[in-house]
Amino acid sequence: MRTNVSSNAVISLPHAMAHSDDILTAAQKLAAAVHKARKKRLEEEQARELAERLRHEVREALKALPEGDYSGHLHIEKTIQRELVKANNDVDRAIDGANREAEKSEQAYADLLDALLNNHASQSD
Amino acid sequence: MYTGEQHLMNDRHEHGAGPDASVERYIDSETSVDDTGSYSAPVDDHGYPALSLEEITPRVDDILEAAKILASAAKKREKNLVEEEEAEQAARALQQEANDAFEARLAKRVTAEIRSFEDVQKDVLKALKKLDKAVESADEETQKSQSAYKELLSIITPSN
Repeated sequence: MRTNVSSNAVISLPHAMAHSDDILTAAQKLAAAVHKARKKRLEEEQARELAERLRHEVREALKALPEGDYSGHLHIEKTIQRELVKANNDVDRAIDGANREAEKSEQAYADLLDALLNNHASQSD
Repeated sequence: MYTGEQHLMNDRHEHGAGPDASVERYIDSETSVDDTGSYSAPVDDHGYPALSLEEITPRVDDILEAAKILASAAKKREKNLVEEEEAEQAARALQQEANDAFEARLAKRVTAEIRSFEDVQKDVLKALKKLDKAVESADEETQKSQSAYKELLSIITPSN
């Protein structure tokens, strides 16, 4: 029965009721961080797709440019290429955000387990 | 599967235990802590085989829901305990008044100042009904807490 809740490591029902606010707080933080992480991953995905499309656009535009058309080149750099840089930055920002929320999720889950598990030996209420 | 609850529910009314004992009765022997005082430090982090964050991520909303029910039921039960306490005190005071009215009646000391035994008796019964309701409600909230807590534990625990 090692993997059962019957392990006496979990707190008793009265204990859980007395500390239900701590449990709720941890659960709220966990759910919020997980949802945010999910949203950031989605943003990352969208930014990646946009960046890919822009990269393709830049390549095509450069290909279509007559040899030695410097002003056309400059125009591409000022427009599509600038958007591409922005999209790449968005990818990085989304990754950072997702990682941050993943860390928060870990912390919140650790707090939740801490609240649910009886590693406070002296508490006997 | 044997559930300790069934048994616990059945003998619930046989003991005239105080308010706090109502929770004790719900403690599944499986989830209760060892109260022999021989606590041994967990080997790893918690000494508990909880699932990983990745494994519980799809169920964070269920975790939140169970935690909400637990917190709300625990709070309601606290409120019920206060009501229980108040109803008990009211019942005691009324019963005392009833006793006095009873004695006065037997001694033929009935006056306009003291209420009749019958009137007071009615209030005693009302107070007892209120007390029963509070006790019943506290039990219900304890049951809700228990099932929410069990749900919470089952989500974070491997099922095999």
